[in-house]
Amino acid sequence: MYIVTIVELCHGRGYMINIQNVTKTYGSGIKAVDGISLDINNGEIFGFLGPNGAGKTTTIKMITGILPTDEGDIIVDGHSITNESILAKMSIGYVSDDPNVFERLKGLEYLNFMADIYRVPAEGRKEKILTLADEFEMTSALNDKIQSYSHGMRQKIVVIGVLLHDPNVWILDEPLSGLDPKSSFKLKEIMRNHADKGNTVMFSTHVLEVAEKVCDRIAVINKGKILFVGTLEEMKSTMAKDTSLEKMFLEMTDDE
Amino acid sequence: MSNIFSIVKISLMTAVRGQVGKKRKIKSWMIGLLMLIWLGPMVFSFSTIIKVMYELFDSFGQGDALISIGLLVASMVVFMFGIFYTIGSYYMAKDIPTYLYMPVKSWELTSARFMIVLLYEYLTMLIFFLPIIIGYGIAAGMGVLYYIVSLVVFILLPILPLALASIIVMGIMSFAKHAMNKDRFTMIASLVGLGIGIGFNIGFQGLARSADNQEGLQELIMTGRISMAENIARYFPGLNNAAKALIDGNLLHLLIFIVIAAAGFALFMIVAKAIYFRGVIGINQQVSRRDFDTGKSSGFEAGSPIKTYLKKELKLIFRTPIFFMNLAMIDFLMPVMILVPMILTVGADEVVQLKKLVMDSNPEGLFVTASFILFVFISAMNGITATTISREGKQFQIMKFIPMSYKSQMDAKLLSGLLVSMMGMIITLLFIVIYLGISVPIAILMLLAGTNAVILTRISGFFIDASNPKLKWDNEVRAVKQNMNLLFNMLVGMGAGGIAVVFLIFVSQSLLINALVFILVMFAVNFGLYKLLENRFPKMLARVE
Repeated sequence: MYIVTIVELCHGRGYMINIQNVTKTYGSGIKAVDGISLDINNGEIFGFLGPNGAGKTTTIKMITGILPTDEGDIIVDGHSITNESILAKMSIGYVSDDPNVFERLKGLEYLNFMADIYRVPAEGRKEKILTLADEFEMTSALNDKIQSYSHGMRQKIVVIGVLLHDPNVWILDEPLSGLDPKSSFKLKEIMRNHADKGNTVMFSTHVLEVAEKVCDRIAVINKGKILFVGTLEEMKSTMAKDTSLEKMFLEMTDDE
Repeated sequence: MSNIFSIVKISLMTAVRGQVGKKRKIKSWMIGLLMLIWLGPMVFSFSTIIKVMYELFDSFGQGDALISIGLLVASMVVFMFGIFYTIGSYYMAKDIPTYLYMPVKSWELTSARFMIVLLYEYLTMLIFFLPIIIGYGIAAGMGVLYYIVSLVVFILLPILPLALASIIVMGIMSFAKHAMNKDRFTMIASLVGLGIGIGFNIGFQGLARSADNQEGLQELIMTGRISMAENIARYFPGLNNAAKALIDGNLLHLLIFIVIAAAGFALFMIVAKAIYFRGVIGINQQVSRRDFDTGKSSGFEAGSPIKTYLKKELKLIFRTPIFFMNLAMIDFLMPVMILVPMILTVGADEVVQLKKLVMDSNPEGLFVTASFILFVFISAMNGITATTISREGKQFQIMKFIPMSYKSQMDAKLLSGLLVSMMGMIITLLFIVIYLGISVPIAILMLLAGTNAVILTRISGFFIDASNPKLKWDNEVRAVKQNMNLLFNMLVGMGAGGIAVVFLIFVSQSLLINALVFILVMFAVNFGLYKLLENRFPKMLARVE
């Protein structure tokens, strides 16, 4: 009991990601994110849903430290992304929606670069890289430049890169687009395993079926505001019986 | 013909649009105006230097040699840049594959690209050739005809060297399909192209010399029957005619020069028609091995974040042909540019004379500052730090989300620029020191002054790029070649070099004072600038979204 309390204190009251009243306005005056607060728990897969331009990517970019917040703060694994950014970033593994990373590096060089930056110890590094590469069927391509990879292969090498340091918080922006069915299945499986170890997985998606199958909880965002946070069952209970997720989603985002 | 102009138009439009952007239009015009204002005094001060040099040369009756030197230097520079420009423009540009499935003939596409490259070459000529034309014109008191002929020569001069560079490049690139590593092939191709060009140059000169045997030539020069101007102009076809047209106003020679340029361009079109497409198709065939050996133990070693970041920077520069050729190559070209004339003129009487004249005038102070001036110019042309954030492009956000402080990333990036420039500087300096027989202590002072010059342009370049990086590009060429930041840093380098020239001419030539200013004071300035950058960079980076 005591141990749990201490851990909870250290980790922002037991939440792995704690978004506190965050706002982001772009130059044109449009509020991309409008005063949202969100807590994402340890050990859960959290889906971030919303139509195009809803504010998903902006929120993710603020969590990962790519964009500064205009108001509010975000605590990741007990560290403020604003004031203790390096510590917060060390806890995150981020897969952006654009997998075109350093194309002139070879796959292995990229992975070793990421391992150095995220301080992955030399001991066991090789095994880790090879195991992950094997899981994603990327081993034979490790010696080739990323330039020669297909879109899906690039996504896979980026995913492997962020998993090397076993991040407590794994954030993925539209991770499943461009992956073949087998890799997509594999990625979902790895996400589940990662969360089951007590880590947090957060990802944004347009694909509602994915959210339905994989997520423990979801948030629906539109026009910079959170419309719903909770489990799918909770969401269904607010709607008419037998409404599909798609219909619920459309109704919710149309109201705005 | 209309295809050629359409391609030229589209290429120019994309180049300009990438640079300007609607919001920044006014700002860009202002910058353009500022640059013009800046270019004026630059050309003027270079012209003044040329005038002084004319008087020096004229003191032993060889003033006209300056025109030949100018023609030769401009041709060589156009040729060398031409090798890299053409590889970039004919083969590496992202839009080239688009034309492959359009009904465009190979010679039309290459001719259009030739014209685009020619425009770049004219910009280069503004710096390398215009001051010589003006400086000589004023010093030798030339008339209106001279300036009219100059204009024609200015327009035609780059055509032949660029045609030769294109032909050599197309010849080498036609073997591209056999290469496994296309990037490495391209970079080696550029070096081989350069080598062939210089070999051709030496051969041409040897041919000209053997026509009248060596001793006879010396005698001809000594007795004044053949001038040094004529001798130098032999190094490149057509230059002798251009020199005669400029110096004597001989229009027949101008006509011959025009015919030679036209013949060069015609030959270029014939070669393009025959082999260009073969090379383009070859270079666009991706090859991958997929043969990783899990038993291999290298490639997994752990290193510090700064070291690994630095290695990443250097790998990307040295493996991306466009980056390497446009950013780092200049440091390695410079020793070649200095070495070639040295080899060509070893033992030549006029050079011995000139060397003696310089060495007799207690030039130690001059050497230290000259080293600063030379390397501030060269390193300013090396755009590694002046495009360092721009080169990140769409992947810029990686800088922000990795757990590495902005300062550490800044240090690694500065270091990458410093290392490449220092490598080139040491080689160049070594050639100069050995050639002129400069003593070791003075050589060390030159090294220190040169290092200060390199550090200065590394930091200024970083400042310029960090304050306004060009992140929106889909084509590496646009990240570096069509990036104003590189040009701004060149202007900074030229400004600093210009101030040093003024200091040397008007303030002091003493060794002590020059060493004090360009080693100690400059070091303090650099340190201050570094501290300022260290303080500003995180804020600058945070602003870029």
